[in-house]
Amino acid sequence: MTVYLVSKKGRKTLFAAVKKIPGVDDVVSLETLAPGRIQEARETAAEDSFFFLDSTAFSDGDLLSVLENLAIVHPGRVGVFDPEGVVDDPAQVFFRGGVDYIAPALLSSPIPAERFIQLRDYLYPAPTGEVDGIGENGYHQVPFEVVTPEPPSREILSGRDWSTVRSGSEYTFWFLYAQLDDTDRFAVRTSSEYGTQVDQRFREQLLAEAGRFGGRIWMWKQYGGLLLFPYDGTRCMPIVPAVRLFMNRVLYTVERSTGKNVLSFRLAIHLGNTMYRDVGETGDVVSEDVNFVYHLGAKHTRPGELTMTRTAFSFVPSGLQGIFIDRGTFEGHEIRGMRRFLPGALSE
Amino acid sequence: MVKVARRLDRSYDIHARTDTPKSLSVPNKDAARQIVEDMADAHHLIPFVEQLLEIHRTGFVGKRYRIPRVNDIIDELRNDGYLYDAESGRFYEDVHQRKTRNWGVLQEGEHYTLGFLALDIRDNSELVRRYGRDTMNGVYESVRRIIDRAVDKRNGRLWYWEGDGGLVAFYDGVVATCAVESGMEILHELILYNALWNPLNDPVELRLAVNTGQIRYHDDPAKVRTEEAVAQTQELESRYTEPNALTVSPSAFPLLDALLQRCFARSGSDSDTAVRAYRPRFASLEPVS
Repeated sequence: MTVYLVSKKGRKTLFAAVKKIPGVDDVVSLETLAPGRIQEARETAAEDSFFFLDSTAFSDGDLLSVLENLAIVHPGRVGVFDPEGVVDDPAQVFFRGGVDYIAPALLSSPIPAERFIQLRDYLYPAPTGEVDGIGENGYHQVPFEVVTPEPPSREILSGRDWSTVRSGSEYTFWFLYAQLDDTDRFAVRTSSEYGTQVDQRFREQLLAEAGRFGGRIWMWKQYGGLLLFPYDGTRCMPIVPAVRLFMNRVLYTVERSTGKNVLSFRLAIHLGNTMYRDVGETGDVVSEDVNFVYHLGAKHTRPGELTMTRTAFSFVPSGLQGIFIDRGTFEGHEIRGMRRFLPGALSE
Repeated sequence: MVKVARRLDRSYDIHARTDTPKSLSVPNKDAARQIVEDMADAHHLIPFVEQLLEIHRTGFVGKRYRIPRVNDIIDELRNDGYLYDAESGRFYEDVHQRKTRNWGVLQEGEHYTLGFLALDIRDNSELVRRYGRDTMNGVYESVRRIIDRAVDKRNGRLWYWEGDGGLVAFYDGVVATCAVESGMEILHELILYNALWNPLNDPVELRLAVNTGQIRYHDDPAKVRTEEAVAQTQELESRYTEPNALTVSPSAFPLLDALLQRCFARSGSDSDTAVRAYRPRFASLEPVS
């Protein structure tokens, strides 16, 4: 995780303690970024980056404008530090998409580590419930268990639609893992009804897009689950709905009133085999490919990202291949990730 | 009912309409029948019923009135192809039954505040020269389908289309938001179209512009064009909009949802008069791992 200090002055000393905070991957680096480079960083910074904007580096209106535009691409990852107390109304920082405001009193000496721990806990609440791979500090540890890459060992076409798919038989399917991001914050910051509402609307949106391409929600636990698409041996059915979901996420947020920040979610696509069971009767399904796509989505895919295995990528139409880049290897599979879709541009 | 009728026609005179001397009162049943007939003849029936329903819900000059058989009236109009939206208190065309350019309610010559989305295909003449009319007709049909899908779901109406561009109007809901959301979705779909289905060796690019304003409604597109708000929208599109971009006029921008506003960049230094532009794209640089 990289913390960017967007400032004209060297402020690293004030923030030095941030490097001592165990983050999601236990490595936090601190970099100073000139305000003029913010456009570039907005596009290139990793999804789990955090930006602290120096209020003295911008004029009044520009600070909030820059904050808004950063927050739309990096939702929940922008804060403001105000060494000279020039922000008249700090609440505006939160109203415009920010998640932290560091007041002048805290900046008279290096910020204590506890202050960053509070921010970390806010951004990455400790997972609850039965989640594998939880380390001693309560945060996800990516287990990177190396497995041999296995494309579907037996290609069993499930067809162009669902007409020939029978419960109890094994088929090759397209898997689309879908998961809302920052869900722990729903419970901490809002009513439980809000979380349920966002979950419901997310599922509706998935169905609206995926349904046109034969996709069905197969397994779902609150805030995430797995969609299946029939596999006819030729086409990557989930690719168009997945790209559409990312392109239109601002529109979904506004039209479905899911909050003041742009809805953030992650998707992962894989091609593999499983025994098919009707929805609601999947308790006895045992499938390496199903396990894998869950791992890919939960552990390797960043918030707001679309990833897929190389096998899946090979089915992506050539016109869309350019929007994917190498995302390393995960559990023995080469992974591709979609470039970030930028809804609009920075204000001047 | 007479007072409601006079809201729509100030000179309405129930005595004259029923040939009743002013010294006598018109029987309620006769008055009601005459008013409904007259409102229908004058194409005021929908706004008249909207006013009645509003009175039923909120009263009239401080007094409560119960309009009998309200649901029957709504059902009757539904059979005629109009759906009632209780939130806005308006009837709208049921697009599954009918779809007219005036939503079935705009009156010729009357003033309305609407939202407008102007669209133009870039370098149309050059594309026709390069690929021929037949090929381009197929491309235009695809582009029209993209536009129709985006505006239909927000109850927009394509008021005119001339081969390579046209104008969509919005009457329902927050018109600026509907127009902008339609424009954004069209640009997104165009990215997919160019990547997946475009038969040309060149991308199809659109210029889109949104404006809001009051106009006098006309069925005739030629008259619509002369309305100032429409002309401003076309000018915004042709003079201030780059290909693959959606611009919003200074008057429409403040009407947008805050999240939508964040997607727009300002061009010009004066925030009150600046045109805002939306230019969606995929990040050109690779993320830092």
